[in-house]
Amino acid sequence: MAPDTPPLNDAEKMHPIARALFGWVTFPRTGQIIFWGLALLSVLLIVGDPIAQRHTKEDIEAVTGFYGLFGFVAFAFAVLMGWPLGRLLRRSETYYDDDDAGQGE
Amino acid sequence: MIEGLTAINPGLILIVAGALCALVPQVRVRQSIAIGAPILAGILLGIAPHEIDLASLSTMGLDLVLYRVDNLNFIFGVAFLIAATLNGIYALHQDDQVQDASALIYAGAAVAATFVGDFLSLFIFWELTAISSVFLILKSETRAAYGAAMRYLAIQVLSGVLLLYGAAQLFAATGDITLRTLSLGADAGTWMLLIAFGIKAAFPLLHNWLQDAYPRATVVGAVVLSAFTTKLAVYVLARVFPGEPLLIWVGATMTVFPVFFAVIENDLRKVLAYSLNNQVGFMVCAIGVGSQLAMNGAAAHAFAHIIYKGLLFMSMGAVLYRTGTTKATELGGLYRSMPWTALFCLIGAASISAFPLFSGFVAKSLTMSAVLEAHYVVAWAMLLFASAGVLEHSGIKIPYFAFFGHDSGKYVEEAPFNMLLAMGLAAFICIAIGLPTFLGGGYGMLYAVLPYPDVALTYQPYTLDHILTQMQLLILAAFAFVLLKRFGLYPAEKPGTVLDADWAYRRAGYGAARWSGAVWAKAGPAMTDVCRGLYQRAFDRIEAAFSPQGVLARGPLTGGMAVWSAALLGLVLLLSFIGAS
Repeated sequence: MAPDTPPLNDAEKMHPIARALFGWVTFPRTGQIIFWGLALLSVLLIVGDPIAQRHTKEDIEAVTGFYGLFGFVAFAFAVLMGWPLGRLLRRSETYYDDDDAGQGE
Repeated sequence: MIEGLTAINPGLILIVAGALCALVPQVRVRQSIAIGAPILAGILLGIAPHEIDLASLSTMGLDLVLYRVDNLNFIFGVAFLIAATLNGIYALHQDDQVQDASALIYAGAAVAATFVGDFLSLFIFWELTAISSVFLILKSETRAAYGAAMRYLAIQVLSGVLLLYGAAQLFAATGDITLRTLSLGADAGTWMLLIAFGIKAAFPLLHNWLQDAYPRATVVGAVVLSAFTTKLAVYVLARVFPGEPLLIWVGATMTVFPVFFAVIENDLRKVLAYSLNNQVGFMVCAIGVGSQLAMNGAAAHAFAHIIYKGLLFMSMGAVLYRTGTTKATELGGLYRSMPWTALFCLIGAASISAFPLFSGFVAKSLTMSAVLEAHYVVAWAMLLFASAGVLEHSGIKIPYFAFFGHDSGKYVEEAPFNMLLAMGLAAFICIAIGLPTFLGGGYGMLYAVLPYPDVALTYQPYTLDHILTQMQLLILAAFAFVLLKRFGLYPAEKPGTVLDADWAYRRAGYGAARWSGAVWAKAGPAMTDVCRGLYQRAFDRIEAAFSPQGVLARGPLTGGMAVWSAALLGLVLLLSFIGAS
């Protein structure tokens, strides 16, 4: 390392294995790629549904893209319910008398 | 010689090993015992013949079966022993005699309970799991952990007492103490048994001991705890109440409600505790369906779950060990410094989310197919909702908030090598039993040890239907995540305590008890004062009348008392004279 290079602060350091395994996380366009990649994959999976000619046991699961739509709605519902439920149920960290907000070791 | 060895319940090996650890101060010796004992127990289990009573005892008119192996308990025993071995490796970095002993005795009690064949023996080991494991929480040595440990102990022991009561009722009614299939409602004792099992399996409203205690346990403690208690209850439910329709709905409810709590919970180990609840729900639901396919599903899910849930707790334990917290609000970006832990956590997350090629997929497919085959469409839809929920809290939230997401700027050391080794082995198992069958490997290894292996081996998890539908569910749910994130609709993590059913006893019940205590503290002395006053007044009146200085002793007739006494005596004399004549 050149003597005039300032030492890295914690936020800039990276484990060598991290660079190999997850270096892509830092690429500026990663977010975009994941977003559009998932969107494309979602469309493909739904389009591929009628082509696959699934065997079904109940009428409802025979609907094209049923599983995908169900997954999407279920996930969104669970997450969005976090807003009202958080307001309703969240209290301070020391709400219970014996809680010192401490953790394990 | 071999026959003698096959009569030893493998759980006893671990219990003796644990007792040894309590006496041995040398850390290396203890660690060798902690890893060696489960392996030795596994060998004993491997050579034990199935479907016969290998050890039994008749005492006080009770026929106890101390060791019996069959297709149902074998897979649970194997999973417990693998977990115990991995836990031993995971704990190698620490020198803690109490935790080493506690973990081994606890694991041993669970294994021993799995292989006994009567309710009384089950009760003994059932209680031992509670008493031995509480130290894994206490050793956190925080005030919160102490409170949680005491609540844990009280609730677990209550479960044991109910089990004993139910078993006694059953014995009184039938004269048979054998661990066997029962139908609910035939006897009041069966309800007691169901509640006893329900507490340990963390049925809805009986579940809070789990979210209370596990996140407050030590780094190693939470990993150890995650494997045994609830899965022992799952095994016993499968043994005693297979095909009980009530369990379908209890199980389905269990899969759904934790999803909502997991979304708003900030402590990632508590998120995992809710996730544990949700996973056990799948197993309970499958046991309720009770078909051979469903029972295979419950057992396969339990096996896969013990490994991947252990793995997830290990990864969060490593994070806690290095950073001192598992709160989502204080974490993020740890992939930079803990890449191996992040990788193993992702494998655990993919497994629990049931991505194809991972263990959760081949296990959960069995249950989903069985529920649908039995035409429980509503329960099936609930499980499907819960599957999307699992992806949310365990598949995405845990790795995202700990290792990626908003970078906390923390740069810590990677987890100790022994932790990485344990996580690596668990991750290996998650993949090894999840892959399609090839060269004798893959999911076939798991299916071969299920309760109904013939049925299991005719089931194909890797069909185009299964893969397509599961990928649709997961990918569109994941797309929902990125979409909600993009539009700022994903609720931000916030520190706080999330209220759950335990509010009833931690706040309302505890508050009522404290209030009555406070009331009594005031009312008690007040009542004493009132009584003392009344007593004093009565005494004063009597004294005023009859004492030597009293009213009757004073006045114009000196010694009035003597006169009155003489008059009374005269009257009595007169009456008796009249009476006699």
